[in-house]
Amino acid sequence: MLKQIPLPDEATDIELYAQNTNRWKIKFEELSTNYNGNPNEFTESVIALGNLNIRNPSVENIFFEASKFMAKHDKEKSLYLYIYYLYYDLKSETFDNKQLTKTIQKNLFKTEEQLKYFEVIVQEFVNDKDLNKALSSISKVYAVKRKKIKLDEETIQQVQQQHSGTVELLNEYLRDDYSEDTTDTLIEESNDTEIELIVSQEKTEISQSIFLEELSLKPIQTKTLELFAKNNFVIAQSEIEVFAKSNGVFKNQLIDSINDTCYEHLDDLLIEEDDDDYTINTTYYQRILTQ
Amino acid sequence: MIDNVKPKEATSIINSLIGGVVPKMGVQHITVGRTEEINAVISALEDVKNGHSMVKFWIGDFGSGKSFMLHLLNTVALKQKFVVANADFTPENRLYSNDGKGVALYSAIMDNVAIQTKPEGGALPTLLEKWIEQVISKTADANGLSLIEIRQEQHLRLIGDSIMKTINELTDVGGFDFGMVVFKYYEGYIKDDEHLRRNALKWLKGEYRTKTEARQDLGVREVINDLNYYDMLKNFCKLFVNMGYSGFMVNLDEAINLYKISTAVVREKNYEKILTIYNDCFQGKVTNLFFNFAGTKEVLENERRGLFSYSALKTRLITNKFETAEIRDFAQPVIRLLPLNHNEIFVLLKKLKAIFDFNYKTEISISNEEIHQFMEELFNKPGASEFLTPREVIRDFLNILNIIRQNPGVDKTRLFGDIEISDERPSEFSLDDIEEL
Repeated sequence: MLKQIPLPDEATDIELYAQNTNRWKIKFEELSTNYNGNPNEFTESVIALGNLNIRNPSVENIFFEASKFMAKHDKEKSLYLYIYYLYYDLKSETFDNKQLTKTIQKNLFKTEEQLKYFEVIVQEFVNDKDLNKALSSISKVYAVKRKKIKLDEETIQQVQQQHSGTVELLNEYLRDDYSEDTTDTLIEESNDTEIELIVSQEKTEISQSIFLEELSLKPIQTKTLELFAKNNFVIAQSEIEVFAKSNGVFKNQLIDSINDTCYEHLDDLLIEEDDDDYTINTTYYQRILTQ
Repeated sequence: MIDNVKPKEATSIINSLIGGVVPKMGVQHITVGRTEEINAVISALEDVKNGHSMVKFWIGDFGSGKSFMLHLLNTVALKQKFVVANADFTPENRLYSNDGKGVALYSAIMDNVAIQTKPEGGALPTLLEKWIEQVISKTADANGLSLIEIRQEQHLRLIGDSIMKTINELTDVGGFDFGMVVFKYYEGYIKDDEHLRRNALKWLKGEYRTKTEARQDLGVREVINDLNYYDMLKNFCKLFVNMGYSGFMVNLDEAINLYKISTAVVREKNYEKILTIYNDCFQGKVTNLFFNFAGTKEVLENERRGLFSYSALKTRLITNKFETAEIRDFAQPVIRLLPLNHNEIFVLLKKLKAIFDFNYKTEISISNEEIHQFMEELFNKPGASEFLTPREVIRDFLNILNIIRQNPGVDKTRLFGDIEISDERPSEFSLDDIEEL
């Protein structure tokens, strides 16, 4: 028998919703249970339901509930429906201005800025009651605000100036000949512990060195560099070990002392240590020669 | 704008920064916005050189420039004739432990000992030999022997006595064994016994685990362990200074690993060790020693497990109450590194553009407005506020300069738009998840 009764037409529906003010809940329940992930479709259905409840004094509650429901699914639509709620609330006898719960608000507004923006829209809407304007403003709440970087010419000048001072200061501390000064003082201070790597003390005549005079290479250091030149600038560590020992010095110390002496001039290492060999960078070698 | 950049410095700066690392050379040219911090570093190094000792805590979050500052500190210290050692705290390396993790930190420090001529570390044998050379020379002088004669085996005793005497004068704790081992190193050299030399180095680096083993190999009664390694570090410091070095600087990074120690008692013991170092340094019990610790704000300030959980440290490290973001005090033991602001980044990028032009002998057409536009694009990328670091800004900027250099007609706006930024933060599990034992 139920099948034979036709569904009510629009006018009947409007009348029925007006008579039974809670009737909308059945339809709303149906809409929310069958929500298929399409926020537009849901919103349209809710608006249609609202139209049928045009004479229902609790019509605003449909939109309030719909707004709460959509907060979980689509933030923008949730705010959209909230504006509708306000629209009907403003038209009703008493303006309730119900607020969404704190939890829902937290979920809807990730930043203070978004909340403030929405509050402005609401305030304007309450004043001018222009529904279309308010609805079209909603999309801007979540639009990413492009951050502007403000540069200040005066501060930039200051930063530049300070930086120049720092570079100057550091240059002084890192300058190539710095270590020369310190070594000199250190030698003076600890004169008695200074090493003299002179191997043959009888040999007093100064031979013409092929290396820069300013480096003041000791005879053993010169001899080592000559050995490198003879061996195509690569010598096995074991070979240097034997050479150092026959000259009464330590291998590591010998290499280090040469690197140390030349560092001021080259600002880099002359002799590099590989797995089993010592290698001289030939460009650097050229730079310590007299020519 | 580019204040005397040398060509090889320019090359080093550009190449390293494109690779995302701090340049080995010319680092001073990119120190924009760090004037006060650098002044603090220089003054600290001067103090240590003059015989004081110092502890500094470099505190800053990811991307605030901790590694950069430590690197700069290293560069300046090496040039200033300091012996420098870097090590990271790890789950296996810490200051206090009774299962070998303390001495593991010591080994890591000694393995990384660097001097100007050996900046990559591994300088311990060189330093040892340098010191022995000095002793040999002194002994030869005192005994009227030539440097060749003194090295003969029959004079081994003379050198031995000399080494022991000097070490005894220098050291307080553990000096006898320390001297013995240095002498064994020398003996190995004179007798051509490579094995003996290696064993001596192994002992000095704290790699012997049992006393029996050490006695068999070297004839010493002690080994370096969790309890005495700090005394040994102090001994080395004195030795380096005796050799003519300005001091010994130890940099310990990743202090988060102390924070992460799950047992409260062990964590506290580690903080107690920091307190000991702190007190030794500032009470003048040691000279020419410079300790640097680097970590995040959490490591310092967390009241439950950070350094502030240990009240004796908290009272010492608490921020000068008169300090604000504008009025800073860099003389405190704690130096907080604040991220560079936009104006500073702008100056840095302008400077990099000048260095880039100088390096490639070119004149890239990119105006100040375009640099501004580049920054704005980058800071508006998704995720920028959480994880964009100067490292990435610099790398992207230099990559763009490289593209423009090779393709002068390219559309810059499109290039800026195409940049994507990535999260390079270390994937650490949340600190709140650490279980308290």
